[in-house]
Amino acid sequence: MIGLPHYLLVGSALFGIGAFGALTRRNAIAVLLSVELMLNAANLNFLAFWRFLDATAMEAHVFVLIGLTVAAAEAALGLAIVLNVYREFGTVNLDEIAELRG
Amino acid sequence: MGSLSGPLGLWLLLAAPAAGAAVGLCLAIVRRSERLAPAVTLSATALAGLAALANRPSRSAGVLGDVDLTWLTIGDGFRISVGVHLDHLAWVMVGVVLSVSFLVQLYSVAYMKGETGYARYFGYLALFTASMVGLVVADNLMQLYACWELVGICSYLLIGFWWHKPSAAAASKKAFVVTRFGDVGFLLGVLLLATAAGSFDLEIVQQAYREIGAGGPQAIGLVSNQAFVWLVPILLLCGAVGKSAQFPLHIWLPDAMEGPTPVSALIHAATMVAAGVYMVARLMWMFTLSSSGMELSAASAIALNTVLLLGAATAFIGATIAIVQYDIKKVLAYSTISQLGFMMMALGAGSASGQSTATYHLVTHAFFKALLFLAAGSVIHALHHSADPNDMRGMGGLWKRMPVTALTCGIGILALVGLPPFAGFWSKDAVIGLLLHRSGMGILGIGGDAHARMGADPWVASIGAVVALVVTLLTAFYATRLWLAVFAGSPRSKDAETATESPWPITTALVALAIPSVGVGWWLHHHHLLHTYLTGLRAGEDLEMHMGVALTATALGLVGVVAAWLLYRSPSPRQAGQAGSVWTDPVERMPRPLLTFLTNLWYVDRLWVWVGARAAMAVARVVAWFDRSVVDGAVRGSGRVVAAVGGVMGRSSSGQTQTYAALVIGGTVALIILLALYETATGSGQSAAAFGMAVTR
Amino acid sequence: MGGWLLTLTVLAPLAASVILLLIPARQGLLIRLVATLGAAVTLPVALWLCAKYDQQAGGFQFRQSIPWVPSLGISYHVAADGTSLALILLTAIIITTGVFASWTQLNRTKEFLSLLLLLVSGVFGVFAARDLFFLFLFYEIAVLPMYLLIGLWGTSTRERTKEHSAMKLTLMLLGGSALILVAILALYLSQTTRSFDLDRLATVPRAPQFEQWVFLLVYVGFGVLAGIWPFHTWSPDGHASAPTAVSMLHAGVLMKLGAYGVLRIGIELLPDGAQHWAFLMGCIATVNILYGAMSAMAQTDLKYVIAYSSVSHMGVVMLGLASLNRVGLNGSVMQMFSHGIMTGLFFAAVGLIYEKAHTRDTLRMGGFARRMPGIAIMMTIGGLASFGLPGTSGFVAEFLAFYGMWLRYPVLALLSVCGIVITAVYVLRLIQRVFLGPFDEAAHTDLRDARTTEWAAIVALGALLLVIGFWPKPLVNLVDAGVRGKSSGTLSLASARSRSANASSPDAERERPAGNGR
Repeated sequence: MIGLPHYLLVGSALFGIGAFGALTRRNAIAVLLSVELMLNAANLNFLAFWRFLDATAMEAHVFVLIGLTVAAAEAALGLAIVLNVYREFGTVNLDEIAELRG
Repeated sequence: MGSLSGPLGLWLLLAAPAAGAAVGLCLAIVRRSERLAPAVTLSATALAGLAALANRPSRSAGVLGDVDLTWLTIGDGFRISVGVHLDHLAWVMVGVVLSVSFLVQLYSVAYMKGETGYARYFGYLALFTASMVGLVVADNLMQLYACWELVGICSYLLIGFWWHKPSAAAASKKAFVVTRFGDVGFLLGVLLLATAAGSFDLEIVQQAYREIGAGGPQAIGLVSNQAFVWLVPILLLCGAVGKSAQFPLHIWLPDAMEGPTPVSALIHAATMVAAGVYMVARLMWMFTLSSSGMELSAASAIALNTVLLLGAATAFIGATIAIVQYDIKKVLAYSTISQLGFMMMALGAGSASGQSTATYHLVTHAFFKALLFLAAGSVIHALHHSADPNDMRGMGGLWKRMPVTALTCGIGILALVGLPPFAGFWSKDAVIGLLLHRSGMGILGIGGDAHARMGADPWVASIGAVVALVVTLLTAFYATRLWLAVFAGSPRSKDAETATESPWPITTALVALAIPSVGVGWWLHHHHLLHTYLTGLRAGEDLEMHMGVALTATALGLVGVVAAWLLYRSPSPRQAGQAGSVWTDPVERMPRPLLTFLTNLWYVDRLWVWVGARAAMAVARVVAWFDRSVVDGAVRGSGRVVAAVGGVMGRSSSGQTQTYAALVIGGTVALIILLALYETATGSGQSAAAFGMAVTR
Repeated sequence: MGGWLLTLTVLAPLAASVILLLIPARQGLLIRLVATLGAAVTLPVALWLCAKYDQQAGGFQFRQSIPWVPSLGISYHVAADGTSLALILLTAIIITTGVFASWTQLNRTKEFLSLLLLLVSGVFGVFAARDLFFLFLFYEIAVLPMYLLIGLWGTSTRERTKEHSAMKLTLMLLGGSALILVAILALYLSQTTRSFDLDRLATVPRAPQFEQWVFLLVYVGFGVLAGIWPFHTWSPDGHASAPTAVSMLHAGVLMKLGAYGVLRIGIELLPDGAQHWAFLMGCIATVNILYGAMSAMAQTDLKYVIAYSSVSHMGVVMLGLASLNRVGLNGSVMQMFSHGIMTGLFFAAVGLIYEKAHTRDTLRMGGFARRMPGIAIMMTIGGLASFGLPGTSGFVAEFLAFYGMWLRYPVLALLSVCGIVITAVYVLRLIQRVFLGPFDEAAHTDLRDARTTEWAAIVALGALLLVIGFWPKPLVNLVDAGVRGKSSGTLSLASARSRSANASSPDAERERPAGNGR
């Protein structure tokens, strides 16, 4: 039977893949995609905990909905930023953009 | 006149000149109707004079006038008042101040005519008069100190009246700073006295001072009572040394001659420079603390010895330098220094006699020295087109052209020399006689009593007496030299040939001052009028006039006069085309080292320049350097340290957000692992338990 | 009514500051008028408060308290005693004249005046606040705009750029703020109830050890702003770089915030701590007086002379505080007032001179009195007040401070009194170099005297110095109503003696002075 741990494993895997992608990809759009994966991992965990721990509570749904909204907004904003970065620097390769260097 | 007698009149003494000053300065600021200023200030001074006359303390009565207002009060124990305390001594001094001030203002009407800043000048004069009167009638230490400073600033403003002259600007600053030097001592003395007595009121202070002198409980934490009673007079004396141009702070007075000549007459000859003498006379109780009965305490003897020795040194130094000066005003300035030394010597003799004798010489000197300065001013006024109108080498033969000036100046000179019956004779002889009496040497027919110690120690008084006699000789010489160089012989410059007598306000003032210069000495001496008026005591043996002293002093004076006459009588021939440069002064024939020493003013000025000005400036530069380099350096250094640390830390920042994020995630994971390990090790496992519970539920 | 007026002094400049930002930059006159209104409205309010203050009753009046965060014990609580009122009056005078004196400031006037008014609003707040939280908040509001004001509108000197000066000033003052914050938290946490109310904090008993350490934090923290040695070095550079109105406000009012903080929080809340450190305070104050005066003597830059003289004069303020007695504290607050006016006058005049002569090097000046007699007169009056000449406010203040110190540490008083000579030297030399002597027509062709608003500003300040100098009683009484009760110790070592003498004098026959006895 598929229980809570399985869901959590899938969530962790999603988060790990997302984190790995966000940290290693050179392309800014790929980084954004990876961040989406991480957000979805969190959503999955929320729903799994709801389903297996307290099916009467509504908080999980609320959080997931907020999470989805944030993800959508983030994607829109992120892409806009990437677009602007491309215009400014002519590239979306993150290695070549190091304005924060101390 | 009757209504002026009483509080209204007393306040008017202060208020009238102050109002005159306010009006004068307002006219100066708006630059309108400047010619009205002297009329205003003159009538204000006259009004104050009437008020003084109306409030004359009678001989028998105590203090007639004593009014005051609270100026400042903090709690119960701290009150500063402004008041008018017109006792006999104050009244005499007020009389001198107001009369000389009036005549000087009258004189200035003509002397300063056409000057820019005409109203400003009279405003300053009136302000000075108000401050000086305030000083004289002060009933508390605070007012004394405040007015003391105010007359100082008036002196500053008037010396620097021609501010566009660098020498005048420098001289005014020097005068103020040097006197301020002494004022630090004065201020400390005031603080000591006021805190010990718990009041600024002079009467309360006096009472407290006596108690301290009598060995009451220790008054001040800092010093013992024994030290207190000599330290306080010495500290106050510092103020007097500065203001009355005593050695070693006399250096400002000759430079002060940069001011207009009437100012020199009023402030730097007759009144302000006498303020130090007046202050010591006023606070004579402080210098004459008796330990038992008539005997003077050891502390007071220290104080009085200091007064007398300083006076003697000043009198001698001033007289010697006066001999070699060419600037007519500088001769008079050094003469003033010397004569102020005389007054200090008289004060050093202590007791009521010293007080009255010093005041006596102060009064006569005020008149004849003001006369001499105004006469000098008259000469300078006549020569004001020449390059250096003050230089006596460019004068000569003026008596034909300026008879009134020559005559009145002659009277002033004779009074200064001290030949009978002129004013200086009486007062100077009184000083010498008093000193001889205190010395107990028993010469010149004076049988002094050295045992009843009333003033300075006998040996100190002996030095004073000898110096006084020597200075009499020197004074006679330089005074006669001045008159002969200016008025006798033939003119030594073009300007001297064409000089004309000064206009009437000037000659009127000269004549008005010549009268007291002749008569006031004998008048005040007659039946010891001044002494009995001031002190209410019958004149003692120490004030008796002795024929021996009179004859000796007159003889010394005559020797000086004759010596000068022999040296200067031959009219120096003027060679055409070389006017002013051919006259060699006979004093230049004195031994070269001595001449150098004297023309360098005993090197006192130089010493002050080195010690006071250069050394202080060097310290200031070191402090400023220290501030910029060390203190601020530490601040900037700490900034650099932070910047350097930041630079090192900054190198780890690549600017790659992904690296930062990896570090954040790695750090979080590491923290979680550490927490897990910690909880496993301690066995508490709270968070793990909570997590497990949640998962398994 | 009174409480609202106190609030008004804080809000009026703040409101003007906000309104200014909404006005288009090209409306130059409107901007100046709004700024003048925001600043000048505080002046009648401050005067009215001073007049209405009940000196008999003393203590804090015109109270207004609005709870803000009750759970943390924070409330907007303002009230004023005589000391606060004197300083509020000073602030109102300085900001009004400051706006007048910088009438010709052309570059980004709107932002400049807006920041200036924001700063002043903070200053009023500090003087009125009775809540520690708000006091600190206002304090920061007063300090921080300085960075921009100097950094953007300042002038660089030979040695230091204006950015350097602004940075140093801000960082040093923030360092002080950090110490103050620690002290405030310590005070806040040292009580059982949670309250920032100063009235309540004053009643909390504290261990002597605690008081000593916290007082030291307060003293150093606020002392940085008061320019205590050796944390004063921001002051010469900062003042030299700042534009006229900012120098006026900063030296005239802001430095007083430091001294006020030491008085309000240090001496009032931590009296035992103050007693413990009094000697240190006295020593540092003496060093300030002499060291500042000596440094001023060596300067040739006009603004540096004035800036170092401020360091020296703030020493007198701290000297009065260190005496911890009534006369000394009165002297200290009087010196805050007097120095505020005096230095405001100095910086206003120096600004005018610099604007017209295009140099601040005193060695390149001379004879300026010919072309700018008005400035010369006012500068001289300021100078006279600076070395404590009787008849100017400086005398009253310095004398009271010296007197107070004399009762506590005579040796320190003795040393500080020597400062009056050094001050006289550098002030008179400054006047001599700048105004006296011959005038070089060729070198300074467009020199002219102050005009209209500038003239009004410096004349008002100069006249005030003289008025207070001749008639100090009303102001001293006002200050004393705030100071009395905070001080400890007697007014004089022999006060008992004087009281007995006073009591007996009406009956006892008055003796004439010695030698006059009949």
